[in-house]
Amino acid sequence: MTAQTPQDQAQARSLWSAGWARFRKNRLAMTGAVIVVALYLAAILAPLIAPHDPIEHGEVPRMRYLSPGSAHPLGTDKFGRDVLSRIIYGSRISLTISFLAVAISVVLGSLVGAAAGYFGGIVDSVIMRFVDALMAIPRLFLLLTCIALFSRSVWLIILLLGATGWMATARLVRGQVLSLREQDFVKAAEALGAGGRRIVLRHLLPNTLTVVIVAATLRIGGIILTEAALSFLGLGVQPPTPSWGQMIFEGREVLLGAWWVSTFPGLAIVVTVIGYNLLGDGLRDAFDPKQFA
Amino acid sequence: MMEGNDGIGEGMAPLLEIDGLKTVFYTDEGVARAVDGVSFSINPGETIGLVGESGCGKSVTALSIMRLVPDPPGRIEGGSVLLDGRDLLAISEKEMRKVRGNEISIVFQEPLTSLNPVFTCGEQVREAIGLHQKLGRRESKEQAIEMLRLVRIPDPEKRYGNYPHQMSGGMRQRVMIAMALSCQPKLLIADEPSTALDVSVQAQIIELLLELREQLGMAVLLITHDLAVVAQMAERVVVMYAGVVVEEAPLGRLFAHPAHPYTDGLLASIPKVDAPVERLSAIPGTVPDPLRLPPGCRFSDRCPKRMDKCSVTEPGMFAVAEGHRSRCYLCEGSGP
Amino acid sequence: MLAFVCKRLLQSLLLVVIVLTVTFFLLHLAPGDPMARYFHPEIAPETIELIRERLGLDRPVVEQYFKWMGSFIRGDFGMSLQYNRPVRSLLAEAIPNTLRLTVAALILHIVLGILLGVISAVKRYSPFDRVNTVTALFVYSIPSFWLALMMIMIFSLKLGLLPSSHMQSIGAGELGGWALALDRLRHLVLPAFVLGVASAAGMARYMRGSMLDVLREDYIQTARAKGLPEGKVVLKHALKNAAIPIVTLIGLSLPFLLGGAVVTEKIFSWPGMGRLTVDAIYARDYPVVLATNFVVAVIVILGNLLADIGYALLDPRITVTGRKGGR
Repeated sequence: MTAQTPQDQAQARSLWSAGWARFRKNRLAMTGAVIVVALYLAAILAPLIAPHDPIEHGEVPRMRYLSPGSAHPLGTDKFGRDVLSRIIYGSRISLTISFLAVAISVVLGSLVGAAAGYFGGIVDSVIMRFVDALMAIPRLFLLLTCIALFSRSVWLIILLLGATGWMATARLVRGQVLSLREQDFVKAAEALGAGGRRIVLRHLLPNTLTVVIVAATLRIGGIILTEAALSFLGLGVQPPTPSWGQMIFEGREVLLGAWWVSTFPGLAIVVTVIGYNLLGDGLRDAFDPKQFA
Repeated sequence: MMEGNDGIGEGMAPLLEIDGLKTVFYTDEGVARAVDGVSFSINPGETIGLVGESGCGKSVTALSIMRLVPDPPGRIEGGSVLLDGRDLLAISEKEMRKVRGNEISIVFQEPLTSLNPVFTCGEQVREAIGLHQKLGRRESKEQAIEMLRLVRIPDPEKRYGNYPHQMSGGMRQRVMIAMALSCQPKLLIADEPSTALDVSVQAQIIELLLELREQLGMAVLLITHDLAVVAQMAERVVVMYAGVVVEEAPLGRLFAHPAHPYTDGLLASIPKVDAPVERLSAIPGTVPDPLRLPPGCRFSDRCPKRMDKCSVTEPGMFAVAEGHRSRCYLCEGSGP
Repeated sequence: MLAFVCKRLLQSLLLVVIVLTVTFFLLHLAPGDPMARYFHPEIAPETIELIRERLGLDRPVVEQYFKWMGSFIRGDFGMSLQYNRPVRSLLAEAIPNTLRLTVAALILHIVLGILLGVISAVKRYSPFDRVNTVTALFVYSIPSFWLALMMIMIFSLKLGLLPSSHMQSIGAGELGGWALALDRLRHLVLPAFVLGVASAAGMARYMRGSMLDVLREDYIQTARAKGLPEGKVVLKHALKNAAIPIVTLIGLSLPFLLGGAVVTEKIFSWPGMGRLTVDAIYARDYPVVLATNFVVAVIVILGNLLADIGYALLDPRITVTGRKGGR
């Protein structure tokens, strides 16, 4: 009944193992993978590795703006809180928000894109015009508008980041589906009387999976940057929960006197985003050399 | 001299003399010796057919003569290419640029992709003329139109302003030929000039090349895997296999008395009108991967006449007759 | 050509209508009475009734929708609650400022991007290429607001070389002529750099790939076989082919630049639409937020329209004309 024969599966397996072999040989990609894994470990193990409490205020003014030293490797902030500990805890916000937001946008984008590509015709035109229109509004403007209209919370921010980021995935998946639906196995499934939804879910989506995973990895970096920008503007996660963007914002009044307050959270963002970009590039090169070349 | 069928010898100085040419490609998987010690020569006004299956090093030989091997990964590592006694591999890049398109020209296989899509055909011909002949824009344009007329493009004044995508494959190949011949080169390298075209257009292009050769008197290095085209144009044939020359002979002699089993195979694979279809035989197997050449004779793993020593040491070139050489132990000691 | 332009123009209009619709429904999808958002301690109830009437919020939704659309297309965006001025006049001040910043960043984006990309492609795997690639990756991963702060810290606060905020010095209006132009240029350097450098890195990366693809094409071999010097092969034959898709890329990068302007303008106190929007959000000044959204979308759609027309003009293979010849 299904068009996937054992040979197909064997072929798919060897494709994956060949890709994995290519990935492992790519030093930059492995660096990216190590960075990302290390970040998740730091987020999960934050209570164990953070030297101080990230939220509780230190004894002000004695503890305020201490420059980096042995007790506080990255210094302290206005309230005498340890910058390093806040960065470690801040990774939780960045990683959670970006991961969930990408997950939402990928699922949404895949469904919309697959529907547009599969049904074609008027459905396709309507959906794609809508996507074009949404892409015309700069993301940050769209986000700011939504945040202004709705009340603020972490979940809303995740939802909004996801809901404003699915358009590129939709285009990508639509393109994939358009080319895949012309291939024999989909035609075979159609000839055997499989219904539309079944074909999309069982045959088309799994085949676009590689492309989507690669694109999603590359997009996480962008989401982290957007979330940080929101926090920086004071429209993201609310204090006292530590988030990197907001830490940078707090340091902006003391750039000369206490440069470490803004500098280190910024470096944390840079390293994280570089990690995801390297990982995404590596995955792309390893598993899909033609698609994005 | 243009009618001369016995090309070599006769004390005439050759136009182009290739000796021990070695071109290698450094790939991730290893060093591929695409051209591994190729030697042959071309006399003024002579047409040489360079034949062999795809992947045997014909095109790399052509690019090496022009010094256009993409570097990296390719590199010319040895030998000499003498044009009128001057070693093209030893001169500076600046000197070499005066040779390209001026003394030696090349026509590539794919007319569809060999012309730049964003410039008009006329401009691309004019550019070559302006470059080598120090003519003003107007004069070079006039000469470019003359060249288009010479290669029988109808209404050349109007076609001058056409972009490549507005022309058919055959017309584009004519533009390529016009560009190559625009500075009256001494040698034209034609790399599978008709392979990518429709059969009827193929014949027209070959005919055009034949006529232009008569008219302009240049030597031609015709690279092809199609022995029928060789029979029409060439005076002498060089057969290549896996990066080396395996046989060299005057045209008539090669067809009548092929000395190398590989040439035998190539000849047997030409369809003949009077022969029953089953007799049409291709050589079994494929050209070996240049990274994994068999020991001894490179053809040994496909050869129907293989002997024990064939898989041990590579044979040298043995003279078979006047102007006829073959790289096969069967010919050892059979020469004059 | 005319038919093509008309078709694209119609498509763009359709996009504008969709953007308007999306904005309208965002306003109505938000929980509660849309009017509730206009409650503000400093606004008299009469004013609110006036706004309600003005926006037609007491009418059926369909009628509201068409009225809303009509007034937006006419450029009537209502009154700013914060400044008690027509939104239109606020925008009239902010749009040129944003355009000045964005265009400066766009120039940096294009010039730097193409230059670095081409050199990287031609000298691929050279030390320059490697440094370039690593730098691009780094720049691409930097949050713009953080980069802005670092630049301010170094160039304004530590070295005192460049001003860190506003479009010109106080009292610069008296200077006039070159002195004023120079003063404005000095104020433009940091924000334009911060805004443009990330997309320039993206452009360089794209351009490198595009050039590498083109340099592998057969016609490049043909150009070399003619005897053209390598510089001419690259700058004439390869660049023209590689640069045509760039026109589209420029159109696509507009949303990023305008979005980036929000943060950049805020940090550098640049009186443009981005700062206007952020301040409006802090002040819950909804008419301004919706209007800037709309205007920015229109600018993006217009930019993409121009990019498409430019592409059609540049690439002879696209025949948008009725006549033959492609140009």
